[in-house]
Amino acid sequence: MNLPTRPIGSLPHPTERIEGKRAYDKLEEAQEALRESEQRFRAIFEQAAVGIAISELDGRLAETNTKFVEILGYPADELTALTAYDITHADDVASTRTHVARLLAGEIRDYSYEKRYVRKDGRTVWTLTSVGLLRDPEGQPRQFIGVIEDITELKQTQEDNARLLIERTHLLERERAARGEAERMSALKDEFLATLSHELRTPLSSILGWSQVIAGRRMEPDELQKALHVIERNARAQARLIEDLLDMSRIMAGRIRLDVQRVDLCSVVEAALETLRPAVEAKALVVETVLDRKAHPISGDPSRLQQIVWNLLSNAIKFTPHGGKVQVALKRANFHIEVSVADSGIGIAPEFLPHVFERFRQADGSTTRRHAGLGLGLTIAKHLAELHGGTLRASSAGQGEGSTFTLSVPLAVLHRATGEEERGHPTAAALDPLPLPFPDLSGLVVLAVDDQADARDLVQRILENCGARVVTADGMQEALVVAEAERPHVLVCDIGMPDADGFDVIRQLRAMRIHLGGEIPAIALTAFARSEDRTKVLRAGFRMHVSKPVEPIELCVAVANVAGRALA
Amino acid sequence: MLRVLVIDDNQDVRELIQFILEGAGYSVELAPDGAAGLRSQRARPADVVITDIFMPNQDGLETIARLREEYPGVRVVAMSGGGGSEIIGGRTLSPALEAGAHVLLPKPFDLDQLLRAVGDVSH
Repeated sequence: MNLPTRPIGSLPHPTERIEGKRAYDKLEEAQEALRESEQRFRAIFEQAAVGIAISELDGRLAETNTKFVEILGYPADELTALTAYDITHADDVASTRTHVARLLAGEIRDYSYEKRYVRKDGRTVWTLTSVGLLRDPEGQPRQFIGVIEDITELKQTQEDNARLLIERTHLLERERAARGEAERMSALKDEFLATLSHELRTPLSSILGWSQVIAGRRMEPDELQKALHVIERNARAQARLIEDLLDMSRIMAGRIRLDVQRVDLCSVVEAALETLRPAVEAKALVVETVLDRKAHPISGDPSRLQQIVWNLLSNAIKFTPHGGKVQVALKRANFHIEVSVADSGIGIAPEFLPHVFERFRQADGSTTRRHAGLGLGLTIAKHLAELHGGTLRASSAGQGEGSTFTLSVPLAVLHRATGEEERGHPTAAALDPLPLPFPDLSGLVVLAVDDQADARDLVQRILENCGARVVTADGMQEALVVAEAERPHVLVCDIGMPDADGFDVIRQLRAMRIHLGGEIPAIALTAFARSEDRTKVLRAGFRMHVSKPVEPIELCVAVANVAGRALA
Repeated sequence: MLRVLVIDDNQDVRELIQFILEGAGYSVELAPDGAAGLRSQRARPADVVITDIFMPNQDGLETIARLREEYPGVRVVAMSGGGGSEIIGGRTLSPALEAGAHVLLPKPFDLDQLLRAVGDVSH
């Protein structure tokens, strides 16, 4: 401001006085204006809905407004002891310095960006920060003025939206994958249904066609006989196909029931052969049978056993060329009865051998299939064999070399408690089986699990009498510990136990995979002897089922059986 | 006399068709699969081929395609119990027709359906 000057002590000239008064008034006005401007600025500064800070060029916070204090959560006097960098989020310090440098270098007039501060309580606050320079009259940078707006909530919403978007994208991807899988399953199902439809309609073609031929024209007696025979054969084939489908569905649902009796497998084999005699004669096959009629009876469902043998025989007949040979043998092998069916047919390629028993393996979906049929027969036969505590194996020297299928079922042991003899299979009634000798179990370690001490002791005594070493456990926890330490060869386990039952024990043991070279063979001991219980036990992974009260010979033979011990 | 070749892996179906067509005055050759069918066609060409679609070794679709390629004039009846065609968007699509078959014969069929199919393609 340019004030007029005069010598001190001299009176002002009248005109000069007037001039001075005017200048003074001007000064007063200017000061008033300044005060007003200052007041206005103060009001704006303090009342602003945004945080405002004025900082020195080194970043020290010179002045902050109420809102700034509120956003940062520091008292105003603490803020003035800090620099803007002290309250900036560590990840945003570098970018702040860059902006500041450009501002000071005159590259930009101001800047505005989203940056994070850290509040006194440690929380991060997102802001929209705008910074400009305050300059001195010479235009040199003097201070920064920053305006910050709290956008934490907005940011939160944006992040939520982004997360939602990502989640939605993932959901969409999962849904797409699930749809792809469903489409594949649906395609497989369509293919299977097409095959099924074909297999069911093909016999219908012959039945319908020949019926119409018979109804519509006069036929020679031998032609008529032949036509009727074709109709009958195709009707039976279709009935069997439907039966197979139902069996497969029962097996998958675990609803198959065995009517367990003492059975003489020789008569089962002979009955199956008898029903297939026409097919054998039609192909002029030579069937050689070697049946050991002194073989011990087994425990099983006679009709299901016949179904297994029938399946093996009819496969052998189907795949053996005209005039070929089929050999059927039944013999006792240690504690099993083995029925083997060998043919001189097309054989099985080594790469297909592992898949022979797989469901729908033949119905592989393409219109080129190895042979007619749904390919369920062997799958069903194998399941049925396993439900008898037995096995079904396939072997072949290769294509064109014939194949051998061997059914192996454990021997039955006379069991006085259940009275099975009374309702025995008629063909088994005449049998007087030789008493079995106790097997030698020396060298075997058996883990016996039962919650009842008396029952454990009994099992231990019985098996030790045959030479086995028996370790015991009173429940699942102890069983797992003992199994880990002793690595038993065989598990004999009670089913009905408090807390964890026999099913839990076998599941946990299988999960531990402690048995080198495979799963530990297991025998279930249970007082429940109904056929559903037996099925449930075998499905759970137990190889055999022994009813309580325990017969010493039955238990010892069962242990020898699952351990693969030879007969003494 | 019109010659018909019947290709089906099911012997009963083959013989049924043979019985009916021979009764109607056709000369009939039989083959149990596509490869045998092609051999038969090369040895004694037929005017009409009736082939199943689901068969072992060489499937019916491939057999139809190869027959039509080697013998453009041969008339083909495709037989199937597996549905064989589906209706998509109001249009019936059939892999057998696309492979070159002239007529579809569903299984099981009536005798006159069979005779009509053979009659239709041979005219």
